[in-house]
Amino acid sequence: MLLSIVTPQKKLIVDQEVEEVLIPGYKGQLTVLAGHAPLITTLGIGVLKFKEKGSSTFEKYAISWGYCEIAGNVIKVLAETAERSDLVDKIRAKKALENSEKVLSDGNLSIEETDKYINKIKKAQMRLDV
Amino acid sequence: MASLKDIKLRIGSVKNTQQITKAMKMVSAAKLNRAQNNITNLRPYAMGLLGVIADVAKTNRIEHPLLEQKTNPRNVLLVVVTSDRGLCAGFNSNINKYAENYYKENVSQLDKLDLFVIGRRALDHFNRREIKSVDHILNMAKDISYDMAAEVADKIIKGFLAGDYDEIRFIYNEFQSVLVQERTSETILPVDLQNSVFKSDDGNKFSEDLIFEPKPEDIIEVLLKKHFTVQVYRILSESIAAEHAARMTAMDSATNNAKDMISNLTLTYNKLRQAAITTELTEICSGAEALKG
Repeated sequence: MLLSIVTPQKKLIVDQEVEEVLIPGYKGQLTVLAGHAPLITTLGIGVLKFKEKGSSTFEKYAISWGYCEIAGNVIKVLAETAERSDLVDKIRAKKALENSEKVLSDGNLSIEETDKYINKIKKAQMRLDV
Repeated sequence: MASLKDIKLRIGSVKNTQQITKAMKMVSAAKLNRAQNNITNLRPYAMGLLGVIADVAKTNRIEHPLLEQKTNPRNVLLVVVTSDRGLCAGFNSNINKYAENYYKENVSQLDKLDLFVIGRRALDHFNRREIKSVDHILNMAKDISYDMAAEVADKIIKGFLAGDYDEIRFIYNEFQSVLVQERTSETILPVDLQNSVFKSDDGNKFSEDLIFEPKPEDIIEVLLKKHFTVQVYRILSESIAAEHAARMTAMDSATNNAKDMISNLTLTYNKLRQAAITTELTEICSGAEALKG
């Protein structure tokens, strides 16, 4: 299978041979192996993992919104942001988490704003955990 | 006739100006490079998104408010993109003039024509003419990120989804090359699927039993919104690249002008100095002659 990951800022991975991909899909974690049925799904905030051909360990990427298209043997991931696990700025993530939590606990937010900050917390948490 | 001292001072000040314009040119060149990279890096993402929207919409014949073409839009939001700073030749005034004309021509024919202004130059321009803008955004130039563009896009799309507008039009400078910035006026919403960029050449690559998670109708909504965000990001990047290109060219010619001026002034300075020496010599000689007498 060939995997590509593209973000608005950069092409991260282009047509890499992979054996197995775990995708944070709309309905939850999704494992893609060779011969998967064609599928289009949106991606949630989560961790995308894949195993390169011949390798036994997973490479991990922290992903926020995106979508994924599986057709034939090609997996295309378009993610809004994607960071390799060892490149995540943990200090920044921690700050973002603390900030958002503080804003939320202060209260007085509209529903939209509350959603926005909950999303921010989710994102920061995921970046810390990856 | 200016005195020697005056000219010397003048040369000094022109030299200072030249140093400033030279530095500004260098800075713009570096920033231009970065902005250009932004545009190139965005392309694969934008194209991927366009492709899948077209495919999903065609396969499922989806109708969506963001796709609905209005033959005769009544409520238009005009987004004017300029920069915060000047010293970039006609970059801002082109846009402002065009936007003002567009506004004056159409304001009486439409039910509603609102302005959304990006950049201090356009804000000041329209404030002076007492044309009110519904909202404005300043300080874009530093280093625009996708997140920032997403916030801008969010602000704009809200009015469209609420039904306040049925067309969103952008007026901005498109970056074509370092020497050419094209003033562009473009309808971004509703999305036009007939547009040439949507016509994929490989036909319909989707099989019938394609699985959608969530439903196609929901997917297309999310994708269209993202498409709009990407477009806003692209337009802002284009505008910033064009701004730096314009400033670079303007500062380059300013530096050259300063150089010409300095050489002219130096010539005059030398001539004057020569004349002064000659007069002095003549005076000394004639003085010595007189003493001999």
